[in-house]
Order: sequence, then structure tokens, then C-alpha cells
Amino acid sequence: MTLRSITVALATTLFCLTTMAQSNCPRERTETVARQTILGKDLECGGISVNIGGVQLHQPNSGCPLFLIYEPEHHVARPAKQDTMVEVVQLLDVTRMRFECKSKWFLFVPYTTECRLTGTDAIAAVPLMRTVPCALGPQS
Amino acid sequence: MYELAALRRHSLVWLVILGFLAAGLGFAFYRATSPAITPPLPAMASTPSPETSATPRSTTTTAGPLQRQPARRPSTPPPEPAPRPSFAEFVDELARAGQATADLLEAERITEAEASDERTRARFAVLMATFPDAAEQALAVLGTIPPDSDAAIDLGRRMVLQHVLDTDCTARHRAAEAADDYSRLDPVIGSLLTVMHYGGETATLGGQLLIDRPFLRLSHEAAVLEIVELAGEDRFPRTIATGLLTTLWHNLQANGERSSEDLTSLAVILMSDPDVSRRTAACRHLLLDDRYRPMLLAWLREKDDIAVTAEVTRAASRELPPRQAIRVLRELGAVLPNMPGAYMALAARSTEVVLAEYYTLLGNDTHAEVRRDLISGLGMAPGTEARKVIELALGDPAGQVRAQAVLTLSAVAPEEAEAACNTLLDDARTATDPLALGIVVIALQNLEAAGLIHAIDRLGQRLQRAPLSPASKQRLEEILARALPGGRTSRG
Repeated sequence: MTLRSITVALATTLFCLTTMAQSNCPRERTETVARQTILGKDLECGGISVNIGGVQLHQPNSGCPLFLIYEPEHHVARPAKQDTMVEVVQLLDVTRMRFECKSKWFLFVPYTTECRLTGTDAIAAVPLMRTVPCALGPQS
Repeated sequence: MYELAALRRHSLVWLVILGFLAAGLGFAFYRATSPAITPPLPAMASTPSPETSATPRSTTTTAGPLQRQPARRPSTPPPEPAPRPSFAEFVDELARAGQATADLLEAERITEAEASDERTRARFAVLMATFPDAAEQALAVLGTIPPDSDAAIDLGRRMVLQHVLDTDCTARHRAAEAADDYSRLDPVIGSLLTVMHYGGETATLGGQLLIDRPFLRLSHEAAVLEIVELAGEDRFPRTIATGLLTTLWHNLQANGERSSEDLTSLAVILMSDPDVSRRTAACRHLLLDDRYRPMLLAWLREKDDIAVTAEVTRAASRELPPRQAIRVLRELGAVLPNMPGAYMALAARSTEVVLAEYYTLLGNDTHAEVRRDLISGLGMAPGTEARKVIELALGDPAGQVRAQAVLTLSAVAPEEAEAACNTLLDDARTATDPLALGIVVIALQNLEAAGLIHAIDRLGQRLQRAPLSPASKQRLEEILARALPGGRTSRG
């Protein structure tokens, strides 16, 4: 086998690998999903309910949520025009916080004192990703 | 341009505050020069109010002509009545009283805390009876509190002012509805919207007073849209701006100030608005209307708008009937493939709907990403049926669903999670998958919270030998350092 034929074979192999990489390229990029907080329904014992001067004051906004779900800012893969792909860099916790409401409501006690956090757990995971050229990615 | 606009906006805020201060001073002058009106005061346990102590007791002159009249002693002038506290002083007094109650509660001196709270409530009633213009005065004081201050006294002041505004606006709203005259309420709400431009905690307080409440009306539309504009420039919290706009629309429809058709037409126009708050408010309005929901979903899929889709999924999971909500989540899965929070909120409302959807998708072995989110949702669902399905999902054909089932189990029953983690680590399909292994590391956190040290030790040893991603490796080391004696496994 001559040097020339070896060079041609190598060039052909390289060309084939590049073509294969491009054909396998998912053409994706990352897009950010903003963080989200979802509050569960207020516990019945929460909120302010008091009669002052004949006016019944009820303020559910200050009630105690049954739970709070926090989804951190993360990424999703979206279609891209370039030969790029996404790879997961890190998994982030989706956190659930559970609250309990004490039986008595004190009018001027700060919210956090009254609405007591009873537990926090990681209940799901969302990815942080980055966009990389297909030629550099693990599929190439 | 920006500085000029900001200057104009701040000038407006200060004008409003100065107006209220002038009104307050005028009112105080009027009160000082008018015959005193003594409001009916509740009895105070230990701290008599200046009003009660200053009010001269009426004495009945029953002295007959034979009784000696006390000699006049002009050298001792009558005691000066104690000056009535100003509104701001009253607010400070109540803020300190609230803090004192909190301190007693913290020290578990419950009886004393209850007594302190009773006194505080009584003083609050005195304040409301003493100042008929309490809402205007509260807005003037609110404008003087730095919006980002988290000093204890400012937190207390804000709480008192929120109570004052809420009580006064509720009373005025009730009177306005009865007389069909909103002239005492509308200006206060308009001024509150102006003061909210300060942002920070001031905006939060205003949002709590106005969102999902009946106070916003057509006359406030321009002010609300101005806030939405500020949010579009990232100079005001977007969630509050969106909440104000959706509340305004709801109230306009409820009051008959705008018809449902008018609002729907407006919503359709605003669906394409460049501002996220307007788009979100428009989409939420259309989402809740059965006739327009299919059109909205088709539009969201076509536009691929992730920010608004996320808001719509959140609203659907909380506000739509569960069966309709799950259809919306399924349809929007094409735009937002990962929405565990929405499925959790839905599962907390209706376990049956989530279980039924999982059985259907598992039977067809389709939509593994949706099955994963459904299993994450079951973490919010109490009951044996939900637990059975989580355990069933440990054998799901899709690795990402099995990994999620391990994580869900670690949250709802951490004592059973070790065996599930081991199953995942033994499975050749997931034993070398960095994503599945990353989920096991996250599950380890839940075992740590449950105090399962021995399980963490055993699983930690296995995970240290597994092909973790650099981020998961670092997190594992952090968990082991926190949870285990000496920060290392027994074979470390």
C-alpha cells in the first residue's frame, strides 16, 4: 500500500466520520426556563380573620400554604439551526417545602413565625445544560 | 429619557406623599381646633391609651349648698392633657407591641403572648377609631419606609400599615357598594398603585392588598398598565404586575364594567404583545374560558413561547378542573418537556387523575417524560394507591421514570429508599448512566434529612465507585462530609 493510498483512505475515513457526526447531530440548543414557585392551598387555620369596628377582616394572602414547590431556573433543549447539541452539566433539585399552621393566629406576629416549615425534600430534578458543537460532543 | 422619566415618576410619588402629609396636618389642625370627639374605646388591660387617660372624667355636681366648696388654688394649674400620639407614632407603638408579642411567643410564654396580642388588637381598634383618614395616613407613612429595608421596626411598620389599609379599604369598599359611590375608595387605591412604584417590599405589600381582591376598578386601568410597563423594563416585579392586571380584568368583568366579550377580544390582541405580563394575563384569561382554550393551546404550541407556557401550565394545574388541567399539561408538553412542579400541584388536588394518566401511558409505553413527571407528582399524593404506583414505577421500562420513582420514594418513605437505590445501581441499564446516578445522589439528601446514616454510608461507598458526573461527585462528597462521622464512609 502506497503512501498516497493511505492518505486517501485516511481522508475518506475522516470525511465519513464527519458526515456521520453531522447526520447524527440533533441540532439542538438550550433555552432557559425561569424559576417557578408554586404554592399549595392555604391551610384553614391561616390568614387573618378578625372583626374590627364591625368590619370583618379576612386576609387569605397571609395564610399558610400547605406546601411550596420551588423549581429552579433550568434549561430545555430546543431545535437549532446550527450543528449543535446539548449536554447536561448538572441536575438541580426541585424542592418541596411543607408547612404547618399553628392553631392560634396572632395579629402582628411575623408570617414566618406563625407558618412553620416542617420539612424540606428534593422531589424531582431539572437539568442545567450547555450547547456544544456536534463535532466536539460525545456522539461525534 | 430614562432619567427624565424616572424623575417624573419619583416626583409623582413624592407629590402624592406630600399631599397626604398636608392632608394629615390639616386634619390634625382641624381636630385640634374642633370639639374633641371621644371614640368608644375598648378596655385596656394594662396600658391605658393616652386618649383614655387624657379624657377628663365627667363629674356629677351633687354638692348641696351646705357642702363646703373647695377653695380655689390658682397657683396649681390644671394638668395638661397628654398629647395624642400622631398616626406615625401610633404605628410605631403597634409595631413594637407586635414584636414584643413575637418575642414572648418565641420564649414560649404563651399566656403572656396572648395577653399582649389582645392589648395590641385593642390599640389597633383605637387607632382605627381615632383616624377616619387612616388609609391616607398609612400611605403617607408607607412612602417614608425604604422599600428594601429589612430592619425589624420597618417590617413591623409594614405589617401594621397593611392591616390599616386592609381594614380601611374593606370598610370603604363595603360602604361604596351600598351607596354605589366609590369616591372615598378609588383615590386611595390609585395612590397605593403610585406608591407601589417604589418596588421592593412596598410593591409586595401593595400586591397583597390588591391581587385577587375587589378594589381595582376601571378607573385604575391606566395606573395598572403603567406598572405593567415598568415590569416590562425590569423595574417592577413581573409576578405582581401580572397579578394586578389579571385581577383588574376579573373585577371589570365581575362589576360589569367590561363584558366578557370585550375582555376576550382584548386578550386575543394582547396574546401577541411584546410584554410578558400582558401576554401572561391574556393567556390566563383565555385558558379559563372553555371556548378559547383550544385556540390558546394551538397558539402556544405554534409560538413556542416558554415563558408564557410555564405560567399557563402553573395556572392550569391550580385553577382548571383536574381532568381539563391534565389535558392542558399534556398538550403543552411539546413546548415545555419538563414540568414537575405543575404535575405536583395537580396531584395535590387530584391523585386519581394522575394515577389514571400514568396507567394509560404505561400500558402504551409512550411519553416517558410525562410518566416521569407524573411519578414526581405522586410525591404530593397521600394514600396507599399512590404508593403502590410509585413502587410499580420502580420497574417502568424507561430508566428516567425508574430513577424518578427512586427519588419520589426517598421523599415519601426514605426508610424504603435504600433498597430501591440499590436496585437502580444493580441494573446494567442505569448503573453507568450519569443522569440516573445523579438522581440517586439527590435521593441521598432525603435520606440525610431523615437521619438514615447507615444507609448513606452503604450507598455512599457504592456511589464513590460509580461513574458520576463531576457535579454529582462533588455533591456526594458534600453529603458524606455533612452526614457521616469524620465526613467519610466506614470503608473510606
